Amino acid sequence: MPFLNYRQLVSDGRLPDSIGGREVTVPIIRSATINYRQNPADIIRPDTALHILYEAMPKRVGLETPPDVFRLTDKIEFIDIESNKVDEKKSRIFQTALEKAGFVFPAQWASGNPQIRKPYDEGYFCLDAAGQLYHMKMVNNRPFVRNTRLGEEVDIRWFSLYESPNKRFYGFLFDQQGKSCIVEDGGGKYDLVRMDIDSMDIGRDRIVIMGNLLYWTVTITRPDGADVYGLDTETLERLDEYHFEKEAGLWEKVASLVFPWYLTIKGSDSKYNFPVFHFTGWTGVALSLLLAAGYMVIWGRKRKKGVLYALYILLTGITGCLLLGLIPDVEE
Amino acid sequence: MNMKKLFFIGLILTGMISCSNGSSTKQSESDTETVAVQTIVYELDELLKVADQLLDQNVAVKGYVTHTCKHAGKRCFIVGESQKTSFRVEAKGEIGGFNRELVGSELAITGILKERRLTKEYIDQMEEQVNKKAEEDGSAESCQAELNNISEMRSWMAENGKEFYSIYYMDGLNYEVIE
Repeated sequence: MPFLNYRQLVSDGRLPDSIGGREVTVPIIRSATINYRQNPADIIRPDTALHILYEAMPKRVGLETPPDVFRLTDKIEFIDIESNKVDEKKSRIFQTALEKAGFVFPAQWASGNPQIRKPYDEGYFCLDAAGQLYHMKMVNNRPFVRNTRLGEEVDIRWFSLYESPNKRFYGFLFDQQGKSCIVEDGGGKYDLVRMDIDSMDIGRDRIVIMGNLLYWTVTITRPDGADVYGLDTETLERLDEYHFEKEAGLWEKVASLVFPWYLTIKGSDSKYNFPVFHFTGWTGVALSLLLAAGYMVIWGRKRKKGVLYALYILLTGITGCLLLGLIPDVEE
Repeated sequence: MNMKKLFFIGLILTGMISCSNGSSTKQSESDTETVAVQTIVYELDELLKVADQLLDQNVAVKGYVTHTCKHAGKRCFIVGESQKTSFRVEAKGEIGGFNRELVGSELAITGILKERRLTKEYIDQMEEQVNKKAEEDGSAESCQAELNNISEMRSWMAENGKEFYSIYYMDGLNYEVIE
């Protein structure tokens, strides 16, 4: 609580000088604060294939948007956004640096944080065709490319770059087996530190991490419920956990009766939006049958299109029935 | 007519002067190029031996990065093969900063060699403060290390017959990573 409300405590002059045996000041609290969330939609979506590479060591305070973007496919190309032309010289310099570092084309993906509203820039982490993760950034107007060698330890599925305020780690790495790790700064090398949580599917589950000087709270939301873990900030070992089972709300129970089937315009595991048909259950179908039969008995003989309307009610259920009741029959 | 001749002569003279200036400029440019090609890249340990002769000059040094300033990377420290002495390099010129991934890498850095002199009086004050700190909080071990440093500085001054202790550093202008 004090880490979440430190601003109020400072304002009231009540911020303690230590918490849990650790010295506490506003800069220390801020540098240790982690606020990260990732949804499946962040990963399962079409890749624009155009990325912005900032100067990681600018001479002036603050990051500046460069005049070009790059794409990384079977080679790297920098494109001037005004003229829409390829900067051959810059592209060649970076291509050479990538090849020299051992990058195998085509790249599978590049993960970065393309915005200037952050304390510093760490460029991109790119997965090459051989499953090796490379760190690429622009330093002093020149390419910096290094193989993290993490692909030799795990089968990498995704890396999410996170520029932490205290520069402790580069981001979150998820492997094909569902394990989650952070990539720590190991003084010139990249160290993998596993988060002590259960396996997750980043294409289906949502992860939220809120961290402070002492603890990290990790929440994994799955289709059947949610798991919350308390980890030690230093070691990321599990200290406590809690599981929430997903319970169907009143609306969900009623909706399955009212809407036997419905359409959504989004596939849960597809990069693109398209109509998806959902079937809620036979209870709704039974209700629709009952309504359709009732309509035929009461009004079916009086109306010319009685059979058609009954079929309509069979397909649309109670909503169709209400609609027919509200809209007067023109012929009558 | 005389005016015309004078004007014409003046024009020719002006042309001759500018040509000779141009050629001397070219000459100095080629001299500069020649100088650039012949720049010696010192090993750090070798540079420190002759540092007093190269002050405020553009030199090139190579060494292994042991530390980069975490906050903004505006300075780094390198060591030589002997790893006995570390050398501070400030990020100036074309260098916006030293990224932390350079730790462990060997760099060839070009820059201006600078000196910071600690006078005898300053060192005496340092010793006073260290002794005072030792009395106040009893941190004997760290204080002894500082006193040893001060003692080494005094020894160096005595051996070299100087009234000051020199700390050499560099305003780095550019660097290359040595593969």
